[in-house]
Amino acid sequence: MTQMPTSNLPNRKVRREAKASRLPLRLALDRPKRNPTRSSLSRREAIFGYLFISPWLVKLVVFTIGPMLATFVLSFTHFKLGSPIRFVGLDNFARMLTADPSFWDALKVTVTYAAFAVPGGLVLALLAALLMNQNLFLVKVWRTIYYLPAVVSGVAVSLLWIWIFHPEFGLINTALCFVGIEGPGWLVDPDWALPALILMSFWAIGNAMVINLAGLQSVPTELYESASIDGANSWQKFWRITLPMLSPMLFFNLVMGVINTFQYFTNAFVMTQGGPGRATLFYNLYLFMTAFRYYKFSYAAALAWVMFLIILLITLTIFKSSPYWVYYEATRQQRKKR
Amino acid sequence: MEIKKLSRRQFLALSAATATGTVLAACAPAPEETPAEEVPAEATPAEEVPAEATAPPPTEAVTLHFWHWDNYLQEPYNKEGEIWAEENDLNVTVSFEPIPWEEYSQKMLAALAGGTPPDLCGGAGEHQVSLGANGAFEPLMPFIERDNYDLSDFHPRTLKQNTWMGTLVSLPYGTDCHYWYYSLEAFQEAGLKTPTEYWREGKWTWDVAMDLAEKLTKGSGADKQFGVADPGVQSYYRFVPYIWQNGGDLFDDAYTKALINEDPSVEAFQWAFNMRPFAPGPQDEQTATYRSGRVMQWVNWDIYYVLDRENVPFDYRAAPTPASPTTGERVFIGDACSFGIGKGSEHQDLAWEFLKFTLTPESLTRLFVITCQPPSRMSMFEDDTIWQMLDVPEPEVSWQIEVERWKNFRNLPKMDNWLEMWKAEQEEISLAWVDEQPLELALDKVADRWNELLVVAEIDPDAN
Repeated sequence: MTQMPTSNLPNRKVRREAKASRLPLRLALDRPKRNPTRSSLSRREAIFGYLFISPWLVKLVVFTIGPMLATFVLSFTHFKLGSPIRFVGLDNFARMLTADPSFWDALKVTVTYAAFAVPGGLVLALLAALLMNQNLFLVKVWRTIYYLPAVVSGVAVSLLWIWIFHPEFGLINTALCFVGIEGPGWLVDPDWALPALILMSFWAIGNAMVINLAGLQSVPTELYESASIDGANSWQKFWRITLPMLSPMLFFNLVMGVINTFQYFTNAFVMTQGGPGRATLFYNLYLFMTAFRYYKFSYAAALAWVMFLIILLITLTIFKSSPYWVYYEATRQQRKKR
Repeated sequence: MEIKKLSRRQFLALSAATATGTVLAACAPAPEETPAEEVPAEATPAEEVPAEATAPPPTEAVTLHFWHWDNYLQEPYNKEGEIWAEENDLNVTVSFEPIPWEEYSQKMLAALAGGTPPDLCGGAGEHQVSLGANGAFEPLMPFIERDNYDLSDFHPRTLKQNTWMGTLVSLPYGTDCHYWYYSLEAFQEAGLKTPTEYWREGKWTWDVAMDLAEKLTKGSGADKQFGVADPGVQSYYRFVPYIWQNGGDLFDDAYTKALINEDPSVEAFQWAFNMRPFAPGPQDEQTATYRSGRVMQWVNWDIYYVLDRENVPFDYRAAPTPASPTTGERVFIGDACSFGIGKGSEHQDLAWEFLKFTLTPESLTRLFVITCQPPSRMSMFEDDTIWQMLDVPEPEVSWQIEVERWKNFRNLPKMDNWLEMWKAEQEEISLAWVDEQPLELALDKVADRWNELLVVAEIDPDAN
């Protein structure tokens, strides 16, 4: 095998640039070299660019990255206001995993909630979107009604649902009473409190529904026409056209749904405070209590990082699985061209 | 000359470094403090030094920020601020800022960390310990010693409640306890002797309370009248005194073992659990309340004897909580609500002067007449003079209960994870309350969890 003369090989910088710009290496080599001294116009442009994005950057760095780094450091310490910080290594994490039953309970509650609320919400949002995509009477009004819960404050929604779930005078139990069923204690019954919150989560499908609706309306009608000519029935059209074309939206809703459910807090905080017993002790609620009720800031920081890692892991898994079930038309067309 | 441009990556790196530096600087340990003076075991009476002699009046307008959770105190204390400023010719405004109880410690600690503490702040119960343990108050002994301030009129136990690890951090302005309220109309209608009458006869015990609760319970469904409210098994303020009066305790003297699952405590819980048929359950808690007129006996703080006047749809009276039939003893909760000076306050001397002013008998009397907040000075309980100023029925009964409280009250344990401990109690007892687990098992579980928490607790053993 003949070895190429080293001098003819593009250097590492050019290779990196070619990779970054996604140009074939040959084209990257042909590009004119950039002037090392920028023109004053482009420099001014850059300065203004940074100036314009700086409020967001400052916010990101000061209020997101900064606190994240601080909590990361804090999670390896024992910290109390007014006292010096004491480094304790991995003690907080070890305690969490080996000696804190509340941590495991909170994780179990959160995972159970996510296991039901996320798929249930996805299915219901899809069904609602399919319904709202029909030529219904007053369809725009219906769409607004379905979307409304998404714009109502979490606390207001919680207060409303406290009354809906009221064992004696609540809407659900009154309705059940009409058909001869004695409704459960919902939020005051340890066996029913978590299912009640799962049920309540289905009310807020407005965001996902709107995204699905946008997806449905962008499916080319020619596909359905061709399928009809080929003799496809409604189910086949849904399964072979609608669902694949909608998969990017479902993917997005799944990712957001997982992140949101793992960060579930407001409703549990307002409605149950983690009770009865520990039936609705969600992870974020436990984290909040640890930090702001028990003032164990370091331990709470460790809890926060564990939650971050869990969400990161699940999100990455979903992303990795996406090539197998998410259909991107643009990607398919690119592949075909090649 | 080649101009070195700032790349996006460098810009982001610099920003991140700056933010990290700022955060780390903010997290840096505070400078070492001088150890605070200990509270003398026996406070010696001393002459008070006039305000003018210790704090020079400010030349510029000053606002004293005063944080507390009870919004009904806002107007009276702003008024006290006006009187104080006028009497002392000060250009000072007192701004009473109510903070919700649930958020109080959280906001205090955030303000402390942010370097903007309130000049004066309330402290009581759980907040007292959490704020004390987190160094939220200025130690008061330097001020007290400087002014030779007389502490002898304050009960030593109320001062202990306001002391964290030997440092007096706040001074009590009030001393609360719970009353056993009842609907006079319901008792008259049923032809029953009232709790006050039983108390006067020396027969006011748990058994009598249970019997009355049963007799006053009638009806069903949405119209059910409940004989009593849940005695508060999930509220440490309400329930711990029942354990004490039955001869029990929460921990051993050395704080090495939880005693909540021992007989006296189990009996106290069992008594409360036996009341369930006559009390609203968790499902009724929003609709069946004394304010809705469906509960005939209930427990609440003494201040509500006045504050609830317009909220309760029937004529109601007060008695002390019932005594244990086993010991015949009645123990009250020590709840000396107090004011302290926020750590790092800019106007510490002025705050101290106003604090002293609010603790004068005159100021405490003005507050008492408006809010029914029993004062912290023992001398004000020598007779029922100020009680007669209250617009309540049988004010002398109220005074007699307070006098009895002075004789036998106890403070809750002072430990930095007390709230976490009580949360464990709430979790297990709430399950037992709805028959998800037996009471004894629930108390055993609570004891186990408390024993684990005791190991890591920071405890000030000098609570009583």
